[in-house]
Amino acid sequence: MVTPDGDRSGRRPRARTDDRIAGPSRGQLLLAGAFVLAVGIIGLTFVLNTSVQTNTLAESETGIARGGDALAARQAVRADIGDFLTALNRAYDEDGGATDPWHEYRDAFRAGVPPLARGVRDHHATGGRLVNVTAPSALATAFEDGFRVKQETTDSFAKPATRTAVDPVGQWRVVRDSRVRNATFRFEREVSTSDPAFRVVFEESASGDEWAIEVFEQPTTPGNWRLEVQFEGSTVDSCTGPPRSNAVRLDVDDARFGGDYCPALSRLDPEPTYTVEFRNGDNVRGQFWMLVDRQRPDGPPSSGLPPAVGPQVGIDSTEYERALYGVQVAFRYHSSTVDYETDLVIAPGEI
Amino acid sequence: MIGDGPGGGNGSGRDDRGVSSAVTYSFIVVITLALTGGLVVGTDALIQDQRQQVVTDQLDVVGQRLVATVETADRLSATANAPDSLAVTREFPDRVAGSAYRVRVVNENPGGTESTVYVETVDGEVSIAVRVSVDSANGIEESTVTSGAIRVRYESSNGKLVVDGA
Amino acid sequence: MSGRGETRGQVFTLEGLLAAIVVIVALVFALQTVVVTPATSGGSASPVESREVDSALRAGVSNDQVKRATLFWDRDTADLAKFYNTARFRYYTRSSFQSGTYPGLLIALDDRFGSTASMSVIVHYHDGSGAVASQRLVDGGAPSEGAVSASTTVTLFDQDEIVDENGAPTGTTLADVETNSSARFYAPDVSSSDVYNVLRVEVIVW
Repeated sequence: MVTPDGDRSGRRPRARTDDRIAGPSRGQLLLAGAFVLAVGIIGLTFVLNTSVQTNTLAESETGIARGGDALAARQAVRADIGDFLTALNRAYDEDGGATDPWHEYRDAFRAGVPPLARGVRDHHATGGRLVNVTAPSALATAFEDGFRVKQETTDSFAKPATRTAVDPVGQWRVVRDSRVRNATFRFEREVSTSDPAFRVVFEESASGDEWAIEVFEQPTTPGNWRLEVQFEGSTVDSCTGPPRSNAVRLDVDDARFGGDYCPALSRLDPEPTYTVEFRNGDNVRGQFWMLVDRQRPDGPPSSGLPPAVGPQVGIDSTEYERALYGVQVAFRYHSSTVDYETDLVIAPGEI
Repeated sequence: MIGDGPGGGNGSGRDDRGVSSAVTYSFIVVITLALTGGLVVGTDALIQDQRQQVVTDQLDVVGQRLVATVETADRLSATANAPDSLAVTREFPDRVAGSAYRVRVVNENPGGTESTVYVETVDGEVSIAVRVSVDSANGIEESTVTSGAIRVRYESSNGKLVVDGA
Repeated sequence: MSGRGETRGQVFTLEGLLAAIVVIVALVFALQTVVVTPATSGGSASPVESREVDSALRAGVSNDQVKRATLFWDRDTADLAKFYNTARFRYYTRSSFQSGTYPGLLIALDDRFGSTASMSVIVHYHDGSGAVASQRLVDGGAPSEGAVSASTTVTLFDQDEIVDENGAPTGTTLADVETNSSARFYAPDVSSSDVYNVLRVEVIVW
């Protein structure tokens, strides 16, 4: 009788002690654990957030911010001014009746650049960019005068004075110590496949190294036109053209032979200035056109009659006329990230 | 006596099981503490690891973007006449995941055309290296830049590209 | 005794509930912050990168295709001047330019992007009053969110010739078009110099 009471009274204090410590503590420990878990989750969130920010950082890269747009604007202006040059040369062609092209196209160019610049500026202003194109005020820097040297009627490429002679001289130095652009040839036929092949030689003035383009017909079937690019006598590359029964067109800067792209021509890279010479010119018949830099060492040209042909100008040809070789414009591009001002020298089709 | 025996037996029924309340209590506390401590340490380690990964990723992005900017500046400077002025300014974050960082440009060859851009945290924990090669004749100048706005410009006096702070 | 048991039970429940609430609040906060970031916007990412469109357009500039496309104008059909072979409207609504006489630029762009994306091409020009107006070249529909666009400027000169259906110059220059009252071109001559107009060709791909 006493014992059960004693037991009961004995058990209760013990149970109370146990519960007081293990019970409430369990709840508090649970709460503490929950807090820690919550802190951990929030910390992980911050880290995750910054990593997502990295993604956003990477994706906010745009062409305008990086500067790629400046390159595109420069390329577009180059193309436009190049087209302008071509249009001017066509408009102020001496064959077409222009009397003083070197001055006429200058005025037209200087009149045309401001509206072009205004139009370009308006279009780029929508993107928060300032693009401006100006022609330099000094005539000597703005314009590179030149000549168009050509042979428009199909004839041999021998030295002109000797063509009617019994033994024409095949070596014809057309241009001396200058630069050439837009060089185009059209070959009708090769006179004799057993004779040495026709070559256009670019001899560098400074080093004397020779680049050559050799054009000939394959003597055996299939008998196509062949072109070889040589440097210092050894062949760099070659390509094949259309059948020899047709005339073939050669665009030196565009690297086209017979209308198809010819990788050999893109490897032709003479250092300016150079001398352009035809060798074995009596072995082909055809036409050619090229724009030659006047290389004026003596200042701006005076108006009036064209200068005498020959050593003074470095051209030996009967068919030539004044033309515009190249221009220089000042190009400005400003955006929130890019500041770019430079002079662009534009002479499209330069070899 | 007999009552005491069973009473004592009852009282030590728990003792028979080899567990006392004190031991139970300490077990509970210790195990709970161990679990909670493990949770804290584990979370901390996880966060640290994630942070390291984030820092590496972000520095990589900074490096790639800077190299793209240098390459674009190189192409802009490739005109027949040297540009009158050329400067491309990019805004980079001042800190990545709480760490400040630094950009170093080191030349691999004497001409400066092959270089490596090192983007590294100030305490040296994380370092990213990106190669860059430029075509312009005079190459890049070696430099060290702090984070923030970085500018790639063309130095007309020596014809080199310079990476410096805006 | 029983009172204390009830209180104890309530405290346990309260503490358990509090713990659960703390964890849930933390989870909700975590999920909320992750969701609200710009990177996760716009379910449809563009299938084409902006750099690709840029380089395609620049290739078109370097081989003159962009300029020829802007001059691909038919002035002779009835009394509606439009781009060649367009339907009722003055622009193309085709989805593919693989066959038929179309500007080379569109065929090239279609080759590059046509199989995976739609595109629109708009030509912006200066009108007589100095503002900028638009002439659609291709209508591919309404661009979706992830659309990328690339533009380039191209200048037309008085001596430039309109091209015919096959892309060859017709011999009719823009200067002729301007003086001839029955001939119309979408853009006017804005300058007395050799410059006719400055256009911006915009290509949008999505």
